[in-house]
Amino acid sequence: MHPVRSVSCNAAFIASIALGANSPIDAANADSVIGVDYDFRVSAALDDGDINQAQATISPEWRADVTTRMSLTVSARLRGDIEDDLDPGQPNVAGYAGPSRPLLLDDYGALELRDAHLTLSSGDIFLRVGKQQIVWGELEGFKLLDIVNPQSFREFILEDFGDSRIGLWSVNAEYMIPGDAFGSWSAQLVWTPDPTVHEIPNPGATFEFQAPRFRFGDAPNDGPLLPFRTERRTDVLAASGIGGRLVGLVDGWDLSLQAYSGIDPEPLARLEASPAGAELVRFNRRRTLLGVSAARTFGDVTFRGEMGLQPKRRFPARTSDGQLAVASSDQFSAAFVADFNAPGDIFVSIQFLYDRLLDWSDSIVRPREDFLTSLYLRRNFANERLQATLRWYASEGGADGVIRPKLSFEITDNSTVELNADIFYGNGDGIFGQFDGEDRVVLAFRGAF
Amino acid sequence: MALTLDDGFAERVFSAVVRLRIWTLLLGMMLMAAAGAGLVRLNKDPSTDSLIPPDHSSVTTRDYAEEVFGLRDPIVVALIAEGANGIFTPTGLAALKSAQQSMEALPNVRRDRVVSIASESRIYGDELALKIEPYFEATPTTQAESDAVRKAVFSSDLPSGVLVSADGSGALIIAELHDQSAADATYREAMARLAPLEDATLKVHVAGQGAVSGYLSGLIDRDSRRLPLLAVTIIFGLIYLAFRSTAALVAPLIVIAATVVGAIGTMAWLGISYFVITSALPVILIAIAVADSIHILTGYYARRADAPETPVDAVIIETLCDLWRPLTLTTFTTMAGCIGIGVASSMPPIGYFGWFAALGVLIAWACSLFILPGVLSLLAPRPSPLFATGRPGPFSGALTGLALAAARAPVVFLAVSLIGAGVGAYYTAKVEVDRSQIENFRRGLAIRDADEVLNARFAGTSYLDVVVETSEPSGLLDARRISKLRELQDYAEGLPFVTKARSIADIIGEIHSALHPDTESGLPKNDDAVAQYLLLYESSGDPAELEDEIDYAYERALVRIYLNARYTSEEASAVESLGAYLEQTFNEPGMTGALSGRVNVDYHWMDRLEKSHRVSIAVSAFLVFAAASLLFRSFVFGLLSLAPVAGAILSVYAVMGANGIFIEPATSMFAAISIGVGVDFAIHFIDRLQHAERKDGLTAQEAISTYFPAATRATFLNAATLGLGFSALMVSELPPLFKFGLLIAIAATASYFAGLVVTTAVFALIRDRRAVRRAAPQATAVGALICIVGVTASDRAHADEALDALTGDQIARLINARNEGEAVDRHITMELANRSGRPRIREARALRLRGDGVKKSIIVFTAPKSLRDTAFLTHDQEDADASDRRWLYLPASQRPKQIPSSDRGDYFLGTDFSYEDIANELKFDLDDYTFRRVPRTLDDADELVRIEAIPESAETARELGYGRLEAVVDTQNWMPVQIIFDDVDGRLLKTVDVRFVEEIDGVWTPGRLEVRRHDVERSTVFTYSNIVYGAPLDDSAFTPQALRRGVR
Repeated sequence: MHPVRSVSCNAAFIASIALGANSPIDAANADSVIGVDYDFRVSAALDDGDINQAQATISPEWRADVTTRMSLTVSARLRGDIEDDLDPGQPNVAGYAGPSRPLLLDDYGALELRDAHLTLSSGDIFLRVGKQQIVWGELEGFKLLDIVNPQSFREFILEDFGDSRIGLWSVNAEYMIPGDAFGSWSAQLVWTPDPTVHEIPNPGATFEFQAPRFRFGDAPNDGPLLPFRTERRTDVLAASGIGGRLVGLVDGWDLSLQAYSGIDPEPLARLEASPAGAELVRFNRRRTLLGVSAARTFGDVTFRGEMGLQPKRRFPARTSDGQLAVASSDQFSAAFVADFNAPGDIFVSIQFLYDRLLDWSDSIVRPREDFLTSLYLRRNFANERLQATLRWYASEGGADGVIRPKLSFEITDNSTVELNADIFYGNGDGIFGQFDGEDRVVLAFRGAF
Repeated sequence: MALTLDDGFAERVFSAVVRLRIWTLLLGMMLMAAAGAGLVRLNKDPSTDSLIPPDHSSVTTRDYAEEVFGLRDPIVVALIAEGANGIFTPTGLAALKSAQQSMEALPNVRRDRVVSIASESRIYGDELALKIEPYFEATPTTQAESDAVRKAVFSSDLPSGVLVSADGSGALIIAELHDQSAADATYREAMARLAPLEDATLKVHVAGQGAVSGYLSGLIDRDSRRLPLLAVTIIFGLIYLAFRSTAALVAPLIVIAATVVGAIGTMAWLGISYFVITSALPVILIAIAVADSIHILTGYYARRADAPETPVDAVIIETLCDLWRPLTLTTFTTMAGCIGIGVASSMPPIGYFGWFAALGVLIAWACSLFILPGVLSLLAPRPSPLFATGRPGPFSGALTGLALAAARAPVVFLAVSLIGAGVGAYYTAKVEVDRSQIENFRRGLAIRDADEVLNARFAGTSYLDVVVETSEPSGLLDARRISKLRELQDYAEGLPFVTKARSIADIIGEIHSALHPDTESGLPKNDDAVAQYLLLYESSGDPAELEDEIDYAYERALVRIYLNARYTSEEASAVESLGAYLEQTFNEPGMTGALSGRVNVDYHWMDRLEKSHRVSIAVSAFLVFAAASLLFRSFVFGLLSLAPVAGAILSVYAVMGANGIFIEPATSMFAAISIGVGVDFAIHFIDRLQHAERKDGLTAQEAISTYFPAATRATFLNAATLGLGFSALMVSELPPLFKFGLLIAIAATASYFAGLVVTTAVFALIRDRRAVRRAAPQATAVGALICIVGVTASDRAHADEALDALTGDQIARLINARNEGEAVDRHITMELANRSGRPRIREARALRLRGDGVKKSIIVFTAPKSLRDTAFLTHDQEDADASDRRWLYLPASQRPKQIPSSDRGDYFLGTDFSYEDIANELKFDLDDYTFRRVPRTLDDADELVRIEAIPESAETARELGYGRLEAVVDTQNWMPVQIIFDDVDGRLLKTVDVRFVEEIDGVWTPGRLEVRRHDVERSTVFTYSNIVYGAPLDDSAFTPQALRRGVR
């Protein structure tokens, strides 16, 4: 394939659509769909039964097929929590770039543009421009190759990733490579001129990070808190992310090879003097990830795997005398997943994730390696109206983890009531144990119209 | 929040209320008078049509049919003679003639629309002339003349079942009315005029939809007058017994009057009709409204007994300061229960019931807190002798003892409660949504007996109509179209509970047979003949006789289908099957048929009821739970408030399930109202326990001993007034209201006792929260595993010689060789129904592309919204050694996932088709089965053959989920018409029926697939539409990475 020729073909195609050469734009016949998702939830702490979240979320979406090849999607999310216990006061939105930032409604709510994109699609070309989520990788609940979009940790990793993932202003182009001598392949190119990073809860929030590795320069929670600010990236072009991916289907194998370079959404930190004394400044640097993924079904079991290398990624560190520093190390990660159906129609998914810093030193705050596992059980009842699931995420050989039993009942085709519990255990330095004591029960009523 | 106002503020408010008592009372009376003035505008609507919004297609089509064909709900008179000759005797036919004249003489009866064999004509003739003559004119005087009439009537199939019973024992007179609103009076007048005709051998019965509606209207009138009065009498009797003071009766009376007049008056001002089920609203409001008064009076008298010297106004203010919070809490929760009905119900009468019940509860609260204190202050009731001892009475003593026992042995009481809930859940599964029109009347009532006679001896009292409309005048002067009408009738007559179908095709057939007695065909073959026959009929008989079958322009026709079903559920399959038949077979360019009639309207509102009932419970429960949680500021207390009432409602469902009481419009509301009302008791108990713990530091047992003697006194009286007040509905002459009263009375009583026991037991149990928290993670995880494993374990419940020579394997190959097109694009409507018949509808677009030895399919869901963009991709290899691949794309995860092909026996996204069924599309994988011919059954048509398929191995059987299948195959197109599946244990598993097979672009295509599961009572129907073969599909759309982009 000749890349230059390909680009010119794409440009000609896009121009033809815009000019209506092959697919006339007929606004009067535009197929427009408006839908609204809503979600009402109340969560209570398990230790004292007190309510810490009474939240209503309304997410309208408008999707219009302008022509058979061009569509426009806009969605927003309005969230109000009258308890405001999850992240008291106004949430920390310093990590959002201007055009992506939610509009805060006092302490109790936020209005956010979730998607706003134009999609052009033909048989072999797909182009989506605007605010969107781009999801890569094969893992569920853990992130290895799924690195394009940052995430909100307002509810740690308990919120659905679709809800907590932060959409970025991006250009996403895909091209189905002709020919199938080596299977069917497509190439994807992504450009994200949006330096938004993770939303990290404020001090005092229910899911404020407690483990040292996630304090990002801040003292342990029981130490003195420093005033902090987040250094915003104003060099949008220089800070933009760019990546490419090849996705193929070869002899039943779902394969992908990817490379992405963009702003690392996990912050680093330094101390600066300010008129009021020392100030903690959080900042973000680029990172690069090279990765591969594969999935295939063998008989009764589907195996999925991911592997990634992030050369010279930077990590928060402390010198021997306790000063904040930044250290770099190559980071290697690999994950393996098996999905199968156990007797009794129970769907089982087991995930193993191994992560290691190849140049680790004592100064790096996080440990040299992580070994994470997850177990997911799901069984449907009553004509799939009732679903019982159990998720168990664990690290440190199971000594640190979170257990998430959940029952959801479909009242009507478009409304569901859910009851779930989140039970953390482990010590305060653990990925999950840091929230021991924040066990909760959540009752939710969600639906759409 | 408002409920955390300090006592000082509350004291200032209630001091002002007492001080301004005259003004608050006057303001209240003025508002009540303003609302009450609306009552003169109140309009009664007893029809079941009101259960469907007036703009619903079933109602508009029915109204259209009534307008075009002049149809009205008739009064039907049946004359039944028991002798050997039935009604065909000189006396029988004389009585019929007399009854005909009596009906024609009734002022509200349309004289030109009274029909019987005494008024109708027979069609006969020969090749020379057509004769249309009355069955009889002069009343026969001899049996021989009567026999001649009988012969004339039965010379044709037209009147059988419609005007005479098939055995000749009875005859009908069908009379349409001018004014439906006067039907009750007309019914009674008809009964009076026809009664003298009765003797030992002849019985007269009067029924029909017109009579039924009229009779119902009369019952509503009587109930509206009697029931509220009875409820008030019962409740005031109780209040008097409880306080032994006539002064205690005045304040509740004002609250009740303001509540009922305020709510019903506002309803009238807003132009909302008084429906059948609205009859229950005043009683419900009376019972609920008085609750707050009882609590205030109990507090007042208790304080008066404790401190007789305290000024009355101070006692009133102190009482209200103490009670305003729980009263407001219970008002919110009761309103939440009622609002749940209002929000969730798509049936206007039920929705209005919910909203105005909520309004009434709000008015009752406002009157209790802001008017009642002033009235009490004016009356200053003397201390009651019953409160003088300061000791609890026998009831409150026993109830306090019961609460103490629950607190001392909480595990025992909770275990018993859970076992009870389990038994309740078992019977709850047996509850069905259904309704019988005639069961609106008590047994023994003449109208009920008459309806049963009409259904037993004649074609039935339920009509399902098909309005056939052509695109131009004279569009029905078309022999092929008339033939299609007859085919439609034949199809309908094969459906369950359908006894007869009539249309203009019958009359044309009669004329054709009369003119061509030697021809075999029942209908003419050319269009001119149709036009000439109709002209002949109109010129020979009365042209108006055809007006209820075809319009004057010959553009529109009515096919009337008679059913003798007792229950609405029995009519459902006829409605659904005919709807599909019309869409798949009957409709064509220039001619369409649409369902109409009462049966169609009933079907649609029952469907809506099924949906709205569960949603209203869920919404009410959620609102009540949310309100209780927020007001107590505790999720645990919110749940605890709801638990007893949930148990009580389960027990009432158990009563319904065990006694065959259906969920119908009236009974559907009990649960949501019970949630709102029943939760009040638990809230009162929790409020006292919480107060005792936080303010006084008391243990659960200490709190019960201290506070429950007084609390149980007021709450028990409240429960008794609710239970007995609701039971006033049980004297209603309308059985649905009787059942509603019974159920809600049981629910109120059960909620009280469950509230008393469960709240105290749980409260005692969670005293040591640390122990609970220590056990919580493990218990939750183990519990979840036990639930999954435990419920899984329990969830187990024609042919020529050449054709005869074909083997099973050869037939399977012929099936697989059937052309299914290289590329197809189509729309699927999936209807998933569970045991109670409640369907879930899913819409999807399905694409299929065949090439390079691979069949690729995509199904993308377009509705409901929760499933939109969910996609399923399959690559099925024709090479048996290559593995098939499947991917599922869920929009939430935004990534396609390959799924194991061993899932092929799993059910496809909640349907009753397996993934394998979906992928194979009525073909069979030759490597999975061994095929064998099996004999045809006697019922099989000549062109059908049967094959049996047994899985090659136990492993394959396990993967497929089938131990055997038997396919009935149409050899004309090699399409299975029915496939019967057994599970791996040899038990009958499911049956797939293939309907409306037609050839589209050279490809035999099923229009509808129906699968009925036998292991669980469930079904799925796939209806295909917009089928396009040879669609321009791009191979690149059939890749997993393309799933994210959707189908364009």
